[in-house]
Amino acid sequence: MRVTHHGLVERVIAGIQNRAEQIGQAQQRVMTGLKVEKASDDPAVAGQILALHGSISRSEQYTRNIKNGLGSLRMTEDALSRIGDILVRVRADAVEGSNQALSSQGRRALAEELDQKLRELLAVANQRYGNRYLFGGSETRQAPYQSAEGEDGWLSEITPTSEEPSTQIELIFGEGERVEVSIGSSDVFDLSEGENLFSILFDLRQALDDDDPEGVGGVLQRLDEAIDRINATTAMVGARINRAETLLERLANLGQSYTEQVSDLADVDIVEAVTRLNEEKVSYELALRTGAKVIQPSLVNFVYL
Amino acid sequence: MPTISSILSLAKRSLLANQGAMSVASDNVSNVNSPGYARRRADLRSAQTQDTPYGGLGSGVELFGVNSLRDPFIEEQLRRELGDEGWFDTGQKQLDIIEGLLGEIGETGMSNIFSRFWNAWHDLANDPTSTAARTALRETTSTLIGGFRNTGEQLAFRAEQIDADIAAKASRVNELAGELAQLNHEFSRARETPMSLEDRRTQILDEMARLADIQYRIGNNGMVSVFIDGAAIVMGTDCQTIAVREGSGGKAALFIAEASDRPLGISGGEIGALFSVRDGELNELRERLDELARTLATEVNRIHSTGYSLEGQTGINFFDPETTGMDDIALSDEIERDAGLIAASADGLPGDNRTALAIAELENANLMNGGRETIDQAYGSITAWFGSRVAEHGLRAEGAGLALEHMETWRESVSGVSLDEEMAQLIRFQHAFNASAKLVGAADTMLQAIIAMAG
Repeated sequence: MRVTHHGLVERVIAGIQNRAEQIGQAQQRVMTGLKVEKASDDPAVAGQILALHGSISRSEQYTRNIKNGLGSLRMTEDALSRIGDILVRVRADAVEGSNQALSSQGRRALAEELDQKLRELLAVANQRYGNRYLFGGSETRQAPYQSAEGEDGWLSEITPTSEEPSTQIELIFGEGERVEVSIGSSDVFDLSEGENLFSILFDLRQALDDDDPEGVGGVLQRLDEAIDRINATTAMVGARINRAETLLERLANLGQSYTEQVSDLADVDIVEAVTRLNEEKVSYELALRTGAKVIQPSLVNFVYL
Repeated sequence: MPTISSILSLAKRSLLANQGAMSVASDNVSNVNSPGYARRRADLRSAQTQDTPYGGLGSGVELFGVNSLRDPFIEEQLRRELGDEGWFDTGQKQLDIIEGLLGEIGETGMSNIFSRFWNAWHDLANDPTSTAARTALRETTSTLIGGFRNTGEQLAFRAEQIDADIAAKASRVNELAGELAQLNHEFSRARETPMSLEDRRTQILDEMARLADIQYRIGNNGMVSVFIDGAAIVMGTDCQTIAVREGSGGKAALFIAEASDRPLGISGGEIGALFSVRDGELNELRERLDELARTLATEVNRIHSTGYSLEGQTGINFFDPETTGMDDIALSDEIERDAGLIAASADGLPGDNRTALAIAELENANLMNGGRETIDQAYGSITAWFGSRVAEHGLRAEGAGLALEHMETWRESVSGVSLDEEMAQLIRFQHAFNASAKLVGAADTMLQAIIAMAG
């Protein structure tokens, strides 16, 4: 083919420009540290990166939800163990009160003490957690129980403020995974139809006040059942806490693995990138050098007319 | 018998012919960088032979003419490649700009704003009575709406820019067509084909072919007719003006100014690419983002309107129920006025969070593309789809560039000026010129000798 000077020059320019473009890309990669910056750099990978960013954001949010739920569950566990403590102490009093040898004054004193324990139990039942009640579920405006005092200064009754059991707080711990992070007051305090923790304590206080050791002994069995029940509930909450903690750990691992995957897909291997840049630099210089050599001479340089 | 004076006149012809050839070479040298210029060749022929009793005697050389070297087939192929290159190059440029508007795919950009939107609903579900969570949710939503609206505006602006670009390129076609008609006029008056007119014609046709998919025909007298989509833009010494008018769907389209109401279908070159991007990718992008915005607003409203606010109001929309797409997505008037009206509760109890939970769960619901993709996935698909359009155009632009370069090399090999070659020619003709001058000297000496004999 006939080759002209003009054609040579055009080819040299095209070659140099091509190299310059390559060196520009290599430099961009080193500077940004990214292989895939825009979707057009690699559309398929870009789709994966977007999906992974979504997953990372979701797992961060689930982590936040679980931590929030754990706060509530641990608080509940704590409250349940306090209730258990109170019941155990009440049981000790009941055993003492059922002893025929105890004086009636002694029983009276125990009854007095029991009123305090009732108040203690009520305080736990109406305990606040943030801007809701720990055992109140989604009813945040009023405490689960209300109480009244008799003329003798003792509590005369404790009743639920609302007839309807409130709904419990659910949180999203993962995709399609809603977990209840609260327990309703009725699940904790009600034992069977007409029987709840408060009524047992009221009955016990009554029996002590009446100086009736047999009556006191009769309450003991009901008290044992109540303690079993609280223990079971505590165990259930403990299981939920365990599960949440496991999830939390898994999410942390997942988050790390997502981050690694994104990095694998999007980030530049810096050693490779710098090597590439150097290679491009060399070939750019070569293109310049050969270009300068090729386009310089012509017959014009050698003809003296 | 040839006379001495016939030798003299032969030498004179030779001097003139070689001088002419020198001037052709000089013309080539000086036009080495002129675009459209095709190298010339002096057509030297031996002059008519004279019959003598001793046989034919030559009467030297004659400059018969000057030809320019072109290959119309190569040029036609080259112009097709020019159209392709113009198409892909312009298309890629436009798509690249639009991709830039979509933002990067890293931790910023729209997809990140979606995540923040869903997370804000989770945060409200975690703390359903909180005013702070509601305010934060409203702010995040405003950012999301701003993102949609901004993208919408940018895309609309891009469409306007493309229309302006089409108008500018169409007016360039008109200028070129006018100049071609003028050239045709000059061709029609010239007795021989004027080479400088051909050079200019080549240049104009090249530029036109890059702008649009033209068909052209060069007549025997050098006059050229140019057609776009079957309509004659240049015919003889007449040319038609292309005008921008409103076409179907209220979009700018090109028409022959004085004739039909049928829009010109330009499907190649730079102008074709602009139409294709505007009515193709840009349009589809807008439609897909509109659907995304509409679905988001509708689905969130569907759940939100069944929920209860802190004060127990229900039936309130979260987004403006009139939302049709990314240009008009907005918060509903109620939420705009009072973030406290955001509903988190499904049963009216202020501590209930099930409405907020249900909306947060929309993140994983397959709402888009006939129930195959979540909103986030659909956005990812749009990004990947557009990215692959850009990447494909980039690759094909590169290919078209190489094909064009290849054809240009071919044209250059036929029509291009080689300085080395012209230098060699100069030397050749100079030598011939010098030798002819010697011939004059020799004839002179012969004449002197005869004159001396007579003396």
